[in-house]
Amino acid sequence: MTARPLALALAGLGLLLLAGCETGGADALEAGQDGILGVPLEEPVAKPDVVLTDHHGEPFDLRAETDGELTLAFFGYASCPDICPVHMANLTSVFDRLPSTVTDRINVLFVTTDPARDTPEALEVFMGSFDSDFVGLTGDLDEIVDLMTELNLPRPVFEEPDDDGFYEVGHPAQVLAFLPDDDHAHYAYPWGTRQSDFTHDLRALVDGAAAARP
Amino acid sequence: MTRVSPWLVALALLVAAVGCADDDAAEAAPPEVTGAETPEPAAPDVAAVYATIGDPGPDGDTLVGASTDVAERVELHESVIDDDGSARMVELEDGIDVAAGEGVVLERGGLHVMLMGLETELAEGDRYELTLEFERGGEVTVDVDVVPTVGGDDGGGGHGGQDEAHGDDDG
Repeated sequence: MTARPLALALAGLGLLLLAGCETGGADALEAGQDGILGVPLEEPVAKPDVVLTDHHGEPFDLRAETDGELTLAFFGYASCPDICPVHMANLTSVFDRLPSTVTDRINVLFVTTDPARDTPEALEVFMGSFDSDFVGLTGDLDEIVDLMTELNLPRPVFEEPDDDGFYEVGHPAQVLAFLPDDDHAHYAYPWGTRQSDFTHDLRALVDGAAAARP
Repeated sequence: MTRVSPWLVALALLVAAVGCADDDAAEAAPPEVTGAETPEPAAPDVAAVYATIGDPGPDGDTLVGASTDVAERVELHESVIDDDGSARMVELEDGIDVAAGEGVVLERGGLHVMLMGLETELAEGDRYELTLEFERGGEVTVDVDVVPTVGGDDGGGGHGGQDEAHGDDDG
């Protein structure tokens, strides 16, 4: 029992630290009435009807490939050294914690916001650092921008290239979760979501939100 | 025999004194830099460096630049998330403030040193040298450890606490 006040104090300290984090570390997620920690979207969004190209160069029909399965989607780019690889590394650690009976029924998609540089070959290199079941997706920029608009995500912002032709791309910081029940995105996971929170929600949602209700 | 003008002597002393003042400023020790690490880059051309910069003393200091042999260019960056949820990186041309009595933490999703145009492949277990330049404290060269891409701070932002409970990553 003595551990409890200490744990609470530490949790409080953690919250204070998070609150003091000016660079977008998310506040600790709080469970809604459905027991889910992800931030519910005001309006669930249908999975867009689009065919992209995966990191092996094969066509990837989003709806057909992920039909009826819990699907996480993140939009970023391979030449991003900070937020993008950290998100994917976190999700890889989450997958390491979960049994394959759960992860086999979850799709994790990394959709590039920078298809000019992120060819299937470039994505294959990038995805090689993460869980081998994760899928990198590229396509026409217009198609990807339409897809993001459909999902109510901010569109990619391309910075001016520097003298070496290198440029950075603004991209959404959050991960979207499409549920097995209706193939709609229902939750967003902001930058800074803890691995333990992801683990909790993926376990709870893999069989659908209806099954997750307490 | 040439006679040295007293004015020249005075000028020489003045120059020496000014020089000494400069030396004193440069002799302010650079703050201690610990835990410098680079996650093994997932992309072949860019990498980030995270580290903890210690208390620079009562006058504070500013990290104004960095250099290394492993990359063509090095910039000081901050990842920021806009109100619309869009993440982007900002180059900090005025440097990174190292607060007096506190120091500063370069961490995932926040302040970082960005390496661009990698000239050496960085793999887990490697170590390379990075020179940090401080406005007051001058230069300090630190060893940077290349750590696994996967298995860093939980959640990013550096506040989530370390999570060691990953199995071997054979993914």
